[in-house]
Amino acid sequence: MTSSLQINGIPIEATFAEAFDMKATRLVITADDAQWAREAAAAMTGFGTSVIACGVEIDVERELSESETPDGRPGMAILAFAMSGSELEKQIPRRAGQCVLTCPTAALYAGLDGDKTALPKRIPLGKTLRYFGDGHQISKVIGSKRYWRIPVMDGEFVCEHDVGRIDGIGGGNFLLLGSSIAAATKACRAAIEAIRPLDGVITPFPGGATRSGSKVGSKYKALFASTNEAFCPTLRHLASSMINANVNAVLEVVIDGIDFDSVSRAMKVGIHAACEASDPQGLLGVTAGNYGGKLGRHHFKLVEVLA
Amino acid sequence: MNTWSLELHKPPKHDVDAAPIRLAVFRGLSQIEIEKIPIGEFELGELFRVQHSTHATQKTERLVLTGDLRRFNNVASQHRQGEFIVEGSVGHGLGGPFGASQIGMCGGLVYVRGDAGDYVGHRMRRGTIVVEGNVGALLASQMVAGTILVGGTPGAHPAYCMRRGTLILQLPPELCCDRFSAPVRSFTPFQTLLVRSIQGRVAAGTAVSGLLDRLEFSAHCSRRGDLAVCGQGEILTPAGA
Repeated sequence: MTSSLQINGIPIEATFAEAFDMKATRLVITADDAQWAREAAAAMTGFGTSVIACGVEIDVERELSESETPDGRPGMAILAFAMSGSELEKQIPRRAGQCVLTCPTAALYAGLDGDKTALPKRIPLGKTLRYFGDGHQISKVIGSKRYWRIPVMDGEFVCEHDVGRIDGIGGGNFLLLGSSIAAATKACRAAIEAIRPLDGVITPFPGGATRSGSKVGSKYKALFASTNEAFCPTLRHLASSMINANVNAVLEVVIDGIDFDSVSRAMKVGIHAACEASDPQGLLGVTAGNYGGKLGRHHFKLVEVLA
Repeated sequence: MNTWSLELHKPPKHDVDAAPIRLAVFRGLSQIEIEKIPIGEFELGELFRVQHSTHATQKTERLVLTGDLRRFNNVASQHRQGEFIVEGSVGHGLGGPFGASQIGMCGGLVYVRGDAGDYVGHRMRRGTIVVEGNVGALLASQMVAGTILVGGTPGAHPAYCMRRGTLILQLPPELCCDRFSAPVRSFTPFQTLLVRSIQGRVAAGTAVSGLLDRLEFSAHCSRRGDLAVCGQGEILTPAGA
């Protein structure tokens, strides 16, 4: 590992995380109580870890208090990222229809401010879900926003007509090189806990991290991503291995964000937290995943991110 | 943003059609041109003192009418955007159609601090009308969409041929039972959205602000109609009223 930078005695490799352009949106789910709001958000964000097979990377951005939501009820802010606008337009209404419309007391609102003038690219919400009302749905315009009220068995499902989408960044990352899975887990959990309160980012993998970091391509033609053998401890005998004999577990924290600064800030906060929660015998180093700069145009150099 | 203030200084002796007093007409005109706008047999400047001002912090255009305007009919007819404030009472046809048009008010806010006559919100299509006092007969007749709040009491036959839209009242009105659904007690987060969109524009301590406070987080009673025209309009009153 080439490194001159250390945090808490833990070396930080002089490399960069390679991230790419995505399309992003933010949704707000509210409900009568925080538990229903969490249930709806959990359903909505399920099976949303990676665009490789889920279509969308989606997770809870943060919980919202009553004073932060449009209808004064507890809520959840959700961020969703996809490789194209059309994929986002396909995934969001499906998930909203099956996961929020179905959840008792839940309502769904746009989480990005801006009408058609400011955000001309729109993702349908109530625009498509309204047909569930079978003609009994009611439309109401308040200010510049259109809402739909769809009769359901607990009263009404209230849903904003649509939500704008913006350009986002997917694939910000850092890799935690542990002497054991316990050490890597400790560092990883500290990092995710520190990233969780930040606005504008999500860590969509289970618990915020993935053990199956991938490289682009595969020997099998049907796959466009496969295991990143350079960081697999059981393959450290390969010439392409990038880990030394003491590294026995690597976890990758993947960060999607609404802009460069959000991802950069999350990486900085996460790496600092991981290092400060660990010792140099447990967390042996921090590095980042990249593809030589060929995959994405956003390069997060660890030295600059941590400056 | 622009504010035009019209203060009545010569009350007419008979009814006047106030339809020409429109933000859409005033926009782009000088004060002298506005004073020359024909209104019935008068020019606007003969009846009103006209003042124009601009306020950098104001988000929407505003037209303020001040005085006893009970002889003025069709105030804010076909109002489209911005705020139309009346510091006093108005005659019939508030927020109704303009001339031979079949479309009433279609956007913005109309706020009357006094009473209003018959046909408030006739054929209204969008926007919000707030009347702090009482209103006359045929409130929200043939209403297509939008929201009307009344702090006082409505006259006969409210919501006649109402198709859609929301009418918010202090007390359940007398309605023909065959033409409107039975009252349903319910709470929807939508009422919080609706109340909050209006609350900031309503003076504290008025009947209307009290009505909004009661509806923000509490259950309401809703009646739907006018079923005679397959309408889905709703008349909301606070539950328990």
